[in-house]
Amino acid sequence: MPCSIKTKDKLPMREVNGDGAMPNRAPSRREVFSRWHTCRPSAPPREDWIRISHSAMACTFDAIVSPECEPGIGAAQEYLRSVDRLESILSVFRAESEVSMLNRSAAEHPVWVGPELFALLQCCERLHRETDGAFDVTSGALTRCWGFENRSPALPSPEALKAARGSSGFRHVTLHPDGAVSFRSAGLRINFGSIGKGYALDQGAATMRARGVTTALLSAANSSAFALGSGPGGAGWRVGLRHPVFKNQRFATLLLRSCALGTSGQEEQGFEIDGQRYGHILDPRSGFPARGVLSATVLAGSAAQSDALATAFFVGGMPLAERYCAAHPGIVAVMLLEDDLSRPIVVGSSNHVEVNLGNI
Amino acid sequence: MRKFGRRHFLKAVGGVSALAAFGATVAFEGPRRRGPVRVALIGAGAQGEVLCNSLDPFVAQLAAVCDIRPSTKATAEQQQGVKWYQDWRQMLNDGSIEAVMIATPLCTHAEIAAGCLDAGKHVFCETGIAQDAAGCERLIAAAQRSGRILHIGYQHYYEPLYWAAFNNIMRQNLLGDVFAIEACCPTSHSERVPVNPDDAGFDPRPWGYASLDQLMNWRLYRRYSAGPMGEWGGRVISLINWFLGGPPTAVQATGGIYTYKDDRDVNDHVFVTLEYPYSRTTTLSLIPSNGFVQPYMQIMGKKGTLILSEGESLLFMEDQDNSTQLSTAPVGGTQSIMDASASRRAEGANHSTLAQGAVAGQAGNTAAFQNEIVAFCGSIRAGAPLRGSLSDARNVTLGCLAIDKAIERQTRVMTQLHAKMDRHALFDQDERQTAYARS
Repeated sequence: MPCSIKTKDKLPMREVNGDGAMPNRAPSRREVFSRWHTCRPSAPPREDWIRISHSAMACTFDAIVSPECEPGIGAAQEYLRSVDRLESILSVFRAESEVSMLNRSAAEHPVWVGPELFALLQCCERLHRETDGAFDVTSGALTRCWGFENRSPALPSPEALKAARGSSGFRHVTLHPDGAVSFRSAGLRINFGSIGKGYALDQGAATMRARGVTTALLSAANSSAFALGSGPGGAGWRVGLRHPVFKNQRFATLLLRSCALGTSGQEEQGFEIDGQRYGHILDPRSGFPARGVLSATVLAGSAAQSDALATAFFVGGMPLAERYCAAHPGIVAVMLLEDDLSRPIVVGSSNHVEVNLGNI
Repeated sequence: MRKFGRRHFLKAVGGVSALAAFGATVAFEGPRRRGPVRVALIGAGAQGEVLCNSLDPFVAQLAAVCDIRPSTKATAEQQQGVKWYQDWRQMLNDGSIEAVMIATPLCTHAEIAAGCLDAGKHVFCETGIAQDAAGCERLIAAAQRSGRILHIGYQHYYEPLYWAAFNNIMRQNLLGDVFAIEACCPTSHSERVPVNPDDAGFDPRPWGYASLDQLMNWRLYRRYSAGPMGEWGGRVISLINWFLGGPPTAVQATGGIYTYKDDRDVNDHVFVTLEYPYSRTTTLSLIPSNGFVQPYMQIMGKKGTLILSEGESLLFMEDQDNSTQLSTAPVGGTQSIMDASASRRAEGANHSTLAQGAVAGQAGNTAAFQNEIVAFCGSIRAGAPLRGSLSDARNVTLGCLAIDKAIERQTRVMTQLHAKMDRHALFDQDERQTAYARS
């Protein structure tokens, strides 16, 4: 998704009309400051914006808008409605969803899917290719085999794992030019868990923009966000990265302008056997939970891309992150590795992101 | 104290200083032009304390405290540069004081506010404007005569969530045609407060109060207050008038002293039906209940319902299965708006933040008071407009008087207010204020 840097939000100035009629809104603190003081404060003053929250896709979707932005709540409602609609298409937990129908029938015969699902599958195929297979939405059989799909994880038997690996992989999927999809493996299961939320945020950001909202923060599950515009005071949206081990600390603070964020980690979902922790993010190539990375955050122009890449970098580690960011300017990754819990690593750079490391 | 929209206020103020809320960088830079407004507080009771704690040193500086109770002297003078006066009239001679904040019993509002306006002070007067229609008119006339700002403190205009409900939901017609609003403002205790032992030797009779107990519990006596309807219901009616674009045309009400037979002479039970133009009906209940019932307002439109409550505000839309939750989110400053982590399921707190996280939950009421005082000072310094006009405040008082009449006569009472109503002039500012802003 193309994105551009917005110039600093113009402050609404005093709105006394020529005829002396009063405006119907009081000034914000920022406006009062701008009139009283010859130099602006270095940080924008605190203000209260409105958070609109809604449960969907087994998590909470949020939008934060300014109360001064008149279409804000209406636009957020429309965005949340679109999330509900996308859930009915993309969820593997709904038997009647388009993706569930695809998973049931595409191994038997080509299934014609709607343009949204087809476009998302094309996007997934591209990201799969670009990440050398580290990102793969076709590993639903593996997720099911490890019990993460129904939230009762357990160590699978070698036979079950072998079977699941055999029926996973984008190589088994054919996207036909006429909009049909077919699987070459009977057990293949597509699961959009690692990209669906981001895709919904991208659609939401487009909806908000179309309704005239210039700045808002959309987020899902605390792990995906789309920073629309430059945030309060034009300074950017300040987002912290929570340390996956020392959970009351953040290991970096980001300032985002017109860009999306995706974070992958295993601290919220996983299980332990004999002191060995098994996280829910599986390496589609080995069939086992990914190791080596504690937290992978990616900043990109679209939330679908940042979500997918966060998972891919979590799986592929630093080599993949460095290779990908070098080949794709504008993508930024903030990685925290198991080797060094106190030293996050920033890969890549972008005009849309400022990264400050440390517990700020 | 229990007020609509203020339940946790004192607790909240204890947790976050105005300086912290503003951002230290801002405060240390200091003012460049005319500096903070020097204000005097008149009435250092619970509400006065709330106002004082909401003063931001960057925009307002407390210069004096006036209170008839000698016990307030020591507390006031503990603060550097703050003078104490027993009689507010003595404070008027201090030319450096530009504005006053009045948080005294309602019966004194008209006299004190008019006196301060005539002495050239700007006035921030806690709700309501006066005890009766004549008092309202007298005060409005004083404001017009003086050329100074008179602002009546209805904080909901400055509560970010209510403002968003008005600006982004009601005004955008998201709920469709609204025909009904239900409001509930329950009490869970008698509202009676004990006398401060430090005041034990103080005789308030020369100041017009029959006893110290009556001074402390003035809201429970008609002589000093407008009863629970004027004191607490008025805030809700003001909010409903704001959302529906004008005052009610007629009221019906029942009420009486049924629960707390403790010498009070104002009703402890009130149930009101208010009729508004365009076939809209609202109900308001002020009936003793329990501590689990939060004050709430339910706005029901043809396309959706909005529930505004201190606990949780929810939006239900006809075309959506799940509700949407509305809350305030502090932004700006140096605080993170979210702390990203691995995906969390719906039951997890999605929007928790680290370190300053506790502040997030406190935003609501604290912000309303602070915002209102900033706007008041902004109006003094820069002619910035204020939300809620004097005629709005007067309409609330007249509406409450009509409710009293309806209870007394057991009949439906026409308010005679609709003739003044203009649906499209929701912020019809008082002429005086407009003239001041022009100057």
